[in-house]
Amino acid sequence: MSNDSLEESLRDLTLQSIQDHPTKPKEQIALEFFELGSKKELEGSLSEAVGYYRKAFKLDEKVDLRYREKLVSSQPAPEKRKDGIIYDQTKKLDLSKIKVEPLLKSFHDSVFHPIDEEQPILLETLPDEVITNLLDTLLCMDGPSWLNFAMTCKKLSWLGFVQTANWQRLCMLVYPRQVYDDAQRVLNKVTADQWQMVVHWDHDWRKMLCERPFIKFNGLYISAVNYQREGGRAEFSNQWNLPFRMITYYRYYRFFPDGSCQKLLTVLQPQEVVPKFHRNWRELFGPSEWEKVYEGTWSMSVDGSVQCNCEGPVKMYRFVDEFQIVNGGRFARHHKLDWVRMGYIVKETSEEGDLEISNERSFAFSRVRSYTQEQAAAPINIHIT
Amino acid sequence: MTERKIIIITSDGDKFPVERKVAEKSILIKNMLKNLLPADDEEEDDEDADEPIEVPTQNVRSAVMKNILEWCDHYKDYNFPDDEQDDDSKKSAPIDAWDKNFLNVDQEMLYEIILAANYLNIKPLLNAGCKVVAEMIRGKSPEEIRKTFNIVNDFTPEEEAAIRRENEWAEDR
Repeated sequence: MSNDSLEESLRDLTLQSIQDHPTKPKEQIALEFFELGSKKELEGSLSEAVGYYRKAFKLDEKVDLRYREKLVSSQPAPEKRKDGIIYDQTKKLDLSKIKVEPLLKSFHDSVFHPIDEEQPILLETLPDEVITNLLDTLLCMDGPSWLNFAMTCKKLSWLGFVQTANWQRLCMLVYPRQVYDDAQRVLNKVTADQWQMVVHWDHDWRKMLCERPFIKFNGLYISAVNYQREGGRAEFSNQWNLPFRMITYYRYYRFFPDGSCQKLLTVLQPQEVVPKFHRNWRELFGPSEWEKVYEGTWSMSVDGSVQCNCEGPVKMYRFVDEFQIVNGGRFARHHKLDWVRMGYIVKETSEEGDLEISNERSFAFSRVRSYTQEQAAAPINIHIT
Repeated sequence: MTERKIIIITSDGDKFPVERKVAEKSILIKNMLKNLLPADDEEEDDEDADEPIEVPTQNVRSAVMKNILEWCDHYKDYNFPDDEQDDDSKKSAPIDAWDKNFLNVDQEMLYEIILAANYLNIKPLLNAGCKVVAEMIRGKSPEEIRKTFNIVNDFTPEEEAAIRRENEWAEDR
């Protein structure tokens, strides 16, 4: 059953109807509530999550253990590999001793080994330069395919991650599509010629890609904000405390390489927004208050401060959002947008003002498959006369 | 003035007579011919003008050469700009429909065509071949790719996780 219909079927269950449920024991229903809660928690919708967790525990106080058991048993059984390594995906691996860079370099002389000894490895017939060309094709086509191909074995990881050509190609794919403001071009001499830029990163393409911030286009940036608000008592209620309400809302930002961007402030969850958050949002979104997308422009500096200037709910104003591109932990580079400032400009007078950002949360990048395909170049037809 | 005949000899000794512009789709052969053939204005004085030029290609067997020449013949009047072949928009564009159909051959033949295109230096054909293989990879997990290409996972689980963690961020742009 899909999650949405599960949610609908659970939402209206009363205690009595659970007791009398014709097909499901109450432990099963408890587990379903728990799973729904965990899904809501992942989406950042905490008040709903808490509601479902509470129902789950009321029905079965050991539901969390059952959930864990189910999760573990749904993992593939530990796989015994040819080389004798037992691969248990539920065990946490100790990666602290692994130094990736020297490790990858040590794969220099690795060769392919066949799964089925009777069958040939056709890739083996191709010289390294051709496999490099294949990796390059994958990089241009679709980033995840490049990664997954290079992750298959030692030899391909050496060709895919150690060779400079891959990182140079990535830089060429990434930086010319970034939009720099004029001051950057003049003052910091930011140029589209990446051969000149890489000089500042010791001529090391990978280092440049790691350290020089960039905006990603094959997805969108999402900020989920939760805060508590004091609610009101119902009339004639004899409750002694005031109820608290957990409010969840989302901010969405999508950037385009032509310098335009669009944003949305809404209570709608990502799965409702993502499929519609395209350039032609006007045709896709309804007229609802929660579906008001605002358009604008963006530009950035070479050190990753991003400025967006958009229309907004007040016609007399332009709204200015300023962010800093930061890493999400050590391994998710250029993954987040931290708030620096939220402000407005009165169109007629150019008077500026600041808005409050203390409740706001950083944006995190999320890849969307359909955006990637949209991004791919239009087919080029060769005409033969 | 008639053009001199060119005969391509394959590794298994078969001979393929071809037009010059077909043969010159291969940059390797084009450069060989440049050295073998005198410049145009001297041609008339050349006594061997009627003799065909034989071009040996040690690494390509005749069944593969037949395919290669079919491709070259199809594109003989099309000029591939040299500097475009490494261009990212060219590489990310979907494979040309004719090429796709042309390369709809069994696996072994596909790899032999790619190999020959690399040896003969026919970049547009090499790139088209790579696109066909890339399409077999697209959308698959590493485990599915290993099965497709008959490759053993020779990482330890720790190595695999650490390498993925270190490079994963670079797939988004």
